[in-house]
Amino acid sequence: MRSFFLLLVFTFLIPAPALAHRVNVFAYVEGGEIVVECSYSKSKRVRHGAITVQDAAGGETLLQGTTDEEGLFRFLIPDQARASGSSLRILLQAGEGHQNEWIVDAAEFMDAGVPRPLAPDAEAATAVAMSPDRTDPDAAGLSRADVAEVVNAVLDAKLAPIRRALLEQSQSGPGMQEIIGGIGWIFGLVGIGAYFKSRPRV
Amino acid sequence: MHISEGVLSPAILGLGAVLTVGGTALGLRRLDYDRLMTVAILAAAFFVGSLIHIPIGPSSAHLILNGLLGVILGWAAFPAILVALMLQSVLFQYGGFTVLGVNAFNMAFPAVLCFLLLRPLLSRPGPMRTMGAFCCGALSVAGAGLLTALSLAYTNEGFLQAARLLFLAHVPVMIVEGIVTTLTVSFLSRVRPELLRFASRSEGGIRA
Repeated sequence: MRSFFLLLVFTFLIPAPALAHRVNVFAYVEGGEIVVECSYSKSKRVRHGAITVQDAAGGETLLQGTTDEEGLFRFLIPDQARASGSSLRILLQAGEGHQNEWIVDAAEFMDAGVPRPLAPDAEAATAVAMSPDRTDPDAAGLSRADVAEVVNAVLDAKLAPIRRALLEQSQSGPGMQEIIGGIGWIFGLVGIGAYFKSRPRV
Repeated sequence: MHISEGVLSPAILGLGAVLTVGGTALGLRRLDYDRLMTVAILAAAFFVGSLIHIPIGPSSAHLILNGLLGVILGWAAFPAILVALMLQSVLFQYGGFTVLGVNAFNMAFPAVLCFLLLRPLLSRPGPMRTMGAFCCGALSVAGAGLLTALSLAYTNEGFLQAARLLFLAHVPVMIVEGIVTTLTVSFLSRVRPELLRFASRSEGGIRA
């Protein structure tokens, strides 16, 4: 009898990928775009999940869309968010009551993508040395904005695997610790119940 | 089957919580000291059961085991499922704290209902019991899917679409759970019939 239950419990303990209880949504800035990745786990992508992008502060909906076959959704950073400098809340509804959200902090995208005007002092310093046409490489080399853009693009590419690794780490299914811990909790709670229900011995 | 946080309206969340509290109170009142350990073992089984996946084409669904809990525990399935779901939401982030009431009711109530309705079948040893156990396992899953779809009826997903998706995804789960419940019941009725409340005294059961 006891061995049957032990067997039962250990059969259940064989780790299986978590697929259908929780959806994960993860978003990062790449160039001028925000990329949203949606998955049930790293192997199961959320196809055709409904995405809603909201202003995290005001709550108004900025844009909507659905994920593609790879569970990805890309959108340009909304001008409105750039202007107001507020964070974006990305809401994923994957159906059957599965929903999750991710906040893209404003700091992540405020300096991304579209070249921004240079800081005033830098502008003044380069204005003397350079012709107004900053994109002409022959005139005075690359401008600060050009360099920033190139560096951003390269960094995005280089950081992509790290981002992915972080994503997988943060969204892997429950580990052995949680499982064993949970079972321990159950028996502990029942132990407390047993203590209170036990008949006092005289 | 775990509905996420933030999907349902407060009215449904409140209703689910009230119903779950009621079921749990009833379950705890009917629970006697000798059966506490059974409840613990089955709560643990339910807790880890959700980690076992059945691949279905491109998707997959996980075991629920609510029917098994209903057959063996009766009303005590409510507290067992509530505790297991609470730990799942805390440790695995399945579901969420505010949806706990709805999720627990959706899974526990069909199991208890199946048990109460099928008890006449279950109390007869032999093929009738086998059939009853299979139906309990399978129908509890179907009932849980139905209640989940009903809970989603007033969200933008709508009842019919949710019900269709949930039903299709859970047909294999129903079959597997029916088999698991049947095997467990037949094993227990041979080895430890006193664990089964519906087993008759002649089989060695303590409680008829």
